[in-house]
Amino acid sequence: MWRASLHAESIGGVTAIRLLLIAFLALTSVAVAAPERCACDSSRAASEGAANETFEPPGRWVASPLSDKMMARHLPADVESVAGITGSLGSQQGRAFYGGQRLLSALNPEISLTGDFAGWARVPQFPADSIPEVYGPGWGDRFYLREAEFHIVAPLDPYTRGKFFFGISGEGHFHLGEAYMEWVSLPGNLNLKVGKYRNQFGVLNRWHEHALPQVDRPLVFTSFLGEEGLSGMGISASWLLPRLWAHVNELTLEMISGGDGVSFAEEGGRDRVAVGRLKNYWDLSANAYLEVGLSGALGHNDPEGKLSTRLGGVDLTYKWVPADRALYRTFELRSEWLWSWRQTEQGRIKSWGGYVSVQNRFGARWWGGVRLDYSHLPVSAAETLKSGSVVLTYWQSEFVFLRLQLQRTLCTYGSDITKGILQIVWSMGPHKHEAY
Amino acid sequence: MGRMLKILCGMLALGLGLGVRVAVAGQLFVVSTLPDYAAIAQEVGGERVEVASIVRGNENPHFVLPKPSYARLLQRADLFITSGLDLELWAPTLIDGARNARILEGEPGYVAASYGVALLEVPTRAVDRSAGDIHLYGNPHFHTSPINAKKIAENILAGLQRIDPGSSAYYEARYRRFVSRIDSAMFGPELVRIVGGEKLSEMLLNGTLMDYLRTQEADGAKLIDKLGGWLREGFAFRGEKVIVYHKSWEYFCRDFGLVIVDYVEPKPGIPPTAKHVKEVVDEIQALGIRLLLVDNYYERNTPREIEARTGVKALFLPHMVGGEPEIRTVFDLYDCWVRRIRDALAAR
Repeated sequence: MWRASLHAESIGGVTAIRLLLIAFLALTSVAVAAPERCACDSSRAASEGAANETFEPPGRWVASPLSDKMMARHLPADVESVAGITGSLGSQQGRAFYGGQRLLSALNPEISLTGDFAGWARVPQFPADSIPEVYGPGWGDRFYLREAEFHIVAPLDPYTRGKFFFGISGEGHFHLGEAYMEWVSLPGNLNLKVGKYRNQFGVLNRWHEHALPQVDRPLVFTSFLGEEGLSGMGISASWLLPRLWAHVNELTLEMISGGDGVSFAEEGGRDRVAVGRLKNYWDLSANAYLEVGLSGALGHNDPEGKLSTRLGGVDLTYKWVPADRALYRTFELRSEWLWSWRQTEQGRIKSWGGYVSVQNRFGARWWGGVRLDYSHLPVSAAETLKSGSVVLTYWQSEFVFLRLQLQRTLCTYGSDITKGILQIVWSMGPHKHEAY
Repeated sequence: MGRMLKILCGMLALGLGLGVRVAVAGQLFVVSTLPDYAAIAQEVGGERVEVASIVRGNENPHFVLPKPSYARLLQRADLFITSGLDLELWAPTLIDGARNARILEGEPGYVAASYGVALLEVPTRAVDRSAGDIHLYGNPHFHTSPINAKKIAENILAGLQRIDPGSSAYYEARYRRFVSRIDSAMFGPELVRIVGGEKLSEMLLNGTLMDYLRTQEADGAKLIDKLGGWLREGFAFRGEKVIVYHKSWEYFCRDFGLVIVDYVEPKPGIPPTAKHVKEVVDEIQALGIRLLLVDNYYERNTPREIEARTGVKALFLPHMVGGEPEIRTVFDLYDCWVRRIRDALAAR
């Protein structure tokens, strides 16, 4: 009928009449259908209520603290009936239902926080920029929060995992340590990583500051790879190779944009740095192992990409941990050496450096250690740094340690210094550094 | 840099080629975290499996170096058995290093031995580390109970049947034989024949077994008189108060009726302090405690000191299979515990 009338109307009056008719039909259809829908939902709610002993809602429900009157005031009648609060479901009164769609916090990632605090004194006082410092030039004798580092880790899906590590220094500077996702267990015994990460050049370059066996990184790393070591944004592939000459051979190949700002151009630049490491691992006995690694890095040291730097590295780790006394005794010898071939406008500079570190655990809580450093500067093989450190670490528990480090550094281009450093590291949450 | 990319791609291809796993016909390779799981897997798998464990019997399972050679072991594994709890926190590092998709969590080759085990000390409120090195899911040392060994075997059976369905009947027959042997060794064959191992185990777990045996009769005699096996031997120390070093004996003590009064560690995972040792010494003297149980991978100085100050017997026990050279099966292990505790108290 309304179709016929539409035909009969003139073009000018059609729109208004059509809208009115549509609105009327829509309203009447809702009015007719609504009671049926409510009845249907009420019966479903009733059946759910009857099966209340075993029924588990998708989210959670809680007894409402509102009185019946308050509920009546706060909830419109149709909402009450739909929610199954009123009428025949007397025993259900006072119950409010909540959906699970907004309560997915169980899927939040694993979050940990590490605090790295230090205080130190040194003699003599000297111009701040005359020597590479543990915490960067310019820091005087004082207490310092090196970093409060957040660790966020979670599986992304059945195939990949995401990891974020970012820190805030005592001055409030934000620092993105690592942010990457990785595929584990790809075909071909391959693990793949993309994002920003610390490079697998040697052993300690990969480690975060709070996990180091001494307060500071060895001089060879700070001299050749900068205060924070070699890291960048790129892709990393790691293979567990078939057994070759060692019990375990693992090859890691990485490509990052930019570099450390010392041997290579600044991180984030358009130039790329290729990094590789071949790990060779032998079990010497049930209680001891030996690992020898060969590392290499290749890139440019100028933003224009004309001058190249090649780095070669050798690392060696021997560790003895008696299985039945692992909590009380450990001996570790580690040494890493690095060679640099740096191209400059004036010619090629060859320089090198390394360290030897010994750590001994002599109780459930005590570690003692020594580290000897020797390093050229990458821009001048004539300038050298030598350093000796003695370290004593007290583990209050698995998650808190205190460390005292005495360090004497000899420098051919500045003042020799002696430092005493107290470090305290604490960790909240599940994060653990799984070194072997 | 173009040349560099070519080299990188070449190395990628080489790595992929070298990394292809060569399938080995014959036995399945089963790797477990704890040696007890390996021993049980050997019982269920028989000659159709080769087993290896990462933790050695005299090693503290909380603290294991995730060495690359372990990752290599897992890389070859067809089945990986772990507690599935927060005991072996080093295991995920190894799983990641192994690059073996078959043994990832949720995959057919991954077995959580704790599945279905009635765990003790499950936190009932929010926990934090002020309570020491706490375990979020409950006490993970459930392998110290012979009753739980049957549940572990059941989980391993499920894993083996999943990855090797063709041998399903073989594994099930061996599993049933293992369960029968555990029941007989635990309760004695006669009582198992009368009551059934499953019912006996159930009553032991819910604490009603002894009352039941004392009140029920069969063949004209009280069932308690027909009790044999480790539980019968354990009558010598049932109800005995003990001190233990770490919270690793709860399940064994539940099964055999030992009452744990205190621990040498002031809190789980926290090394003993002089103040706490003094408290333990006072407790031992006040309550006349005769026995101190110590897993043999813990330090001996503190237990020895407590022994010297109180006269308590510090008994250093292997905690897992392989903890001493002659302990090769879980039967050897449970035998050893029952016998040594009984003998230690008899000598007091």
